[in-house]
Amino acid sequence: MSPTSRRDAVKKLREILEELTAVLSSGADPFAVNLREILDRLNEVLPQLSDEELPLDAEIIRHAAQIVKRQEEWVAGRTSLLALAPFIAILKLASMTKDELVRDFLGAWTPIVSLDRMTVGDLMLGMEYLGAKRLQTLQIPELPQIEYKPYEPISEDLRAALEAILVELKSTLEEMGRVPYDDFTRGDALRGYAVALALQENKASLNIDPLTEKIYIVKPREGTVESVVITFEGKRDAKNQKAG
Amino acid sequence: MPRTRKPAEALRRAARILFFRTHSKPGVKGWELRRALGSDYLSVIKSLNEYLAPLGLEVRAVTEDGRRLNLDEETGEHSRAIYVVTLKTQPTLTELKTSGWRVDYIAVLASAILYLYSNNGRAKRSDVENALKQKFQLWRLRAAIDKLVRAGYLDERDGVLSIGWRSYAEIDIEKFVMRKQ
Repeated sequence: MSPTSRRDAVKKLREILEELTAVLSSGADPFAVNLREILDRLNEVLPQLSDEELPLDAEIIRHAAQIVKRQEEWVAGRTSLLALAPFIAILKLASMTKDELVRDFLGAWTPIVSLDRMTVGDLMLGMEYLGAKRLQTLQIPELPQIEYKPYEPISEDLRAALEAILVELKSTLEEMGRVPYDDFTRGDALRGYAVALALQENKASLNIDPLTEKIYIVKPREGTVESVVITFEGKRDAKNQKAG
Repeated sequence: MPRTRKPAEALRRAARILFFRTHSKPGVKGWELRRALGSDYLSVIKSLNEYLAPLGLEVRAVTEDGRRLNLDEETGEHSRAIYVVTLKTQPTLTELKTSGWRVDYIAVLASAILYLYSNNGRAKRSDVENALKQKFQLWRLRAAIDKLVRAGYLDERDGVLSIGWRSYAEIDIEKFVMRKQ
């Protein structure tokens, strides 16, 4: 046997040994090592070895046996863990708050990345919509005249109903300090309107929890109240344009 | 930048197909990629992955029932699988807030997955709602479940909810269940 082929064989043995040692020392998944392939490689190298190199070969076999043992332990551990997993899941659901669940969830979540774009289909749909709209406009020779009516309360009891809600809001805030907006309004437009009035009259204020994005109605804040002017821009008619 | 032997044009085309969403559900089917990139589409995807890795992204192939496929060994399942680009590492809470998902909805998803996982992956929708209504307002819970079903995170058939393919694609469910805070 040539010294070169023997040197190559020893080099291969050392590589295998390093690979096995790395897995054993790092505690990585023992199934990451393809033991069958390693044994095949050993089988190829074995005829080229002299008696001096046999201890190296024996060392590899010893490491391979340790990996098999690790695999057995790993399977046993995983089986017991998987049997417990449903109980752990339900326990976790019962014991953790929403925030804790979200933080925990983020540790196991790798979301899909995608970009929204206009497709030919979307554009065609838009064209169809615009076409239909134009046709409809052309078919109507004259736009119906809208009759403007002075503002009237929809109910005679509106003021009384609003007052009652405002009193309820005040007592709730005095009792609890703050109340979630959704809980107080319960999806009712009138209650929502009453809250808007309370905010406008500085009888209450809003606070948004930055973590949950939940909106709370709180007691009015002390200090100077600042009003913000919002301007609306619109086209002036021809007469005004001339005057301007 | 990693070196690749794939033509740049094929990589560009693959990136465009995978990143831009053309259906209501994200992802591209394997046969669609084969049609656009040729028969060696898997090697194009692997080359694209080399480019995406430094950016913290990767392309994954997921079957309809949520199993992740190995891109190194082509099987019959690869052409039916859905290919998606995902983050390689988990997002932070701040990143989550800019992702377009409400924190509340993510909390519903996390809770629903835990409940379904403890019930072998499926349960009646009414049971899920009953179990979670202590944590969430019912109207918001229902709205969130509807949205999660539409997005593919949950699957609903005949009033029964199950974990959807997208959850399997994006979430390491076992890790989430076993994770200690």
